[in-house]
Amino acid sequence: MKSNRVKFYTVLIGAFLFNLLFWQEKMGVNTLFYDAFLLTALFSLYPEARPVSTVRWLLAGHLICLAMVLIQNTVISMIAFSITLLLLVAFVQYLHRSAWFAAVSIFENMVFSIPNIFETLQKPSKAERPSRGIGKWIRFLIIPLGLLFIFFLLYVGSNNVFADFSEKIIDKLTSLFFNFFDFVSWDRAGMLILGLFLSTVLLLKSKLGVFSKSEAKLTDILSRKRITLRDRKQGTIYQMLIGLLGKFASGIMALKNINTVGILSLVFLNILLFVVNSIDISYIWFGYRFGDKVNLYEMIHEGTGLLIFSILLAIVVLLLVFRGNLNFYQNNKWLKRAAYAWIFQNGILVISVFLRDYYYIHESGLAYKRIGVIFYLVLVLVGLITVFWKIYKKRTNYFLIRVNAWAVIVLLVVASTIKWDRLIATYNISQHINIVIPVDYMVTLSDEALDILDQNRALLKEHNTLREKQGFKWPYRNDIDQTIDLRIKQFMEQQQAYSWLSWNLSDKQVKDYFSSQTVKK
Amino acid sequence: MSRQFSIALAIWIKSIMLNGFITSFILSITDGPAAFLVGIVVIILGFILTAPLLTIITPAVKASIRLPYTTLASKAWLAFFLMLIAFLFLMAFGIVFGISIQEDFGSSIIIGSLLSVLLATLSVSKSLDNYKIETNASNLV
Repeated sequence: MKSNRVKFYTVLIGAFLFNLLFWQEKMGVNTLFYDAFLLTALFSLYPEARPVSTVRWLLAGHLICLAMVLIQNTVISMIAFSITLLLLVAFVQYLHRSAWFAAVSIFENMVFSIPNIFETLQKPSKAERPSRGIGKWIRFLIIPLGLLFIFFLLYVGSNNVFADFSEKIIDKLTSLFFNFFDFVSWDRAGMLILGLFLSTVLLLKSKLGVFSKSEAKLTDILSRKRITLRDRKQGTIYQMLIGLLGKFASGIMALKNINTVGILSLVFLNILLFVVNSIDISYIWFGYRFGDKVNLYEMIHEGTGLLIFSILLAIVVLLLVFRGNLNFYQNNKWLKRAAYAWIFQNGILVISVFLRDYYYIHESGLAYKRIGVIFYLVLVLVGLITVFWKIYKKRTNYFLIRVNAWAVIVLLVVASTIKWDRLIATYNISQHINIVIPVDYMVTLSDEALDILDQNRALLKEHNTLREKQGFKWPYRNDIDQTIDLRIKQFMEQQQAYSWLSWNLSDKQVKDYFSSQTVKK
Repeated sequence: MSRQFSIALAIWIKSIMLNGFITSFILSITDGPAAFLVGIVVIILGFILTAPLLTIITPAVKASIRLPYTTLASKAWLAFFLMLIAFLFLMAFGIVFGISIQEDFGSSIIIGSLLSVLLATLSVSKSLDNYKIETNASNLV
């Protein structure tokens, strides 16, 4: 454990560095410098975390995100960078296995950031305390400075040349003083406080460690617990079951009765889902013809959301059925089989939803939400697989939540490696023969796609005319050319305002493109 | 009266009184000596409107004592927590009564309140120290 003084100065350096690197800048090469400082400080203050494998994996993911901030500079890469940094901090400072618990530990660091920083201000013990403190020097200087002041006034009064000379020096010092206050603005002071808060949260761990201690009590493997009737009666689910099943949900035969109810429910749900899946396989998987746009919009915008919700609800139902001791009930073989069948059928439903999304992208082009659906489906699929594993291997809900949180993080890191806006723009333009390009949406894509928009102005105008014939109205006051020109102007102005600290490859490429265009003109 | 409640009460009373003085002092710079009357109104309204905040201040005092930190760090946490509560309360109050914090009156009240909460917490510093020592001693027993 490092001494408080080292911690305090590290936090202070972090605050000043944050202020210097990010003042009126965007995330770019400055992120690399700040991150290098943070990681060095973090692993020096908490060296025990260095060999932990989870920390190393998370560090790898975080470094990928950092590289993506420098190369891609997308919003998602910045979000992924920030999230992986916070998680890495929590995993370095505390003993965690779950990202959820790590996230709340960071929240704990935030709540206790004030006492954490004040703790480092604690005076060192007598043995550590330096023999000559600043207070001692102040006492030494009082008499000499007092004498200096008195004699200075005497010489100013008696010597005109010295008076002129000292007046010039005082004027210089006064202007320096006021210039300093012009330089240090209130906004900058606020930024310094923000940097201090951020550095404290990232570098100093809370002394409570509440969530680290609570997680230590949790395990992945479900164990059979003897629950007294009194404790069971206090549970909400028990009360609900009593309300619905009456005496069947209580007494010695309760487990057997709940098992029967579970089997019946899952069999009915399986039959219902079988019918839905059969229709989907027949119409969506093999019977869909491109160009038949009658119900496509309705099928995607209303159908997809409801289907995803039904799959999530299915996971919740399975978790409720397989809670507690029903996992250890000897005659639960059929209940498990029905659950596996339902999970499998929900997997088929995921494929059907994916196909709907695919058809929609094929017919109408790429957009954020359509890509979002794919990510969501991947996560739902992971969720279904982990639910199967939970039932099959008798795992706890903690295991389920833990593994799924890691799936989200992996997906976030993967998502940060792609320039989504550029991909959307390129794809939609490449498909201009098959689709009517959503021009009003295209002009809202981020700066990374500006050069593509500029290169395809004629095509965009042509497709906007097609859209207007379909009944869509151009929603902006400016026309397409004016909108793109305005975006380019704003981008170039922003770039001029940034220093080298905001450098990133993505902005450089777009900036170089427009600079060369200006030269050509 | 429990120890934590008596400390909470002291912080609350001192904060309101100080707030009255500080607010009237800040306003008197811009609006003249008549602003001292505003201070009296602030004190009276403060006692009436902020009384429910005692239900938050008392457990906060207790929590600060139980934190496994040094007395300085615990007091700093309490001061900042109470300042945050005061700020949120004033923001809510401002929204309900349509007072903007950018106006002279609104900003004076906020600056005055935050400063007074900080000073009031510092003024009960010794009581907090003693309470913490007693609590730690009783826990050891």
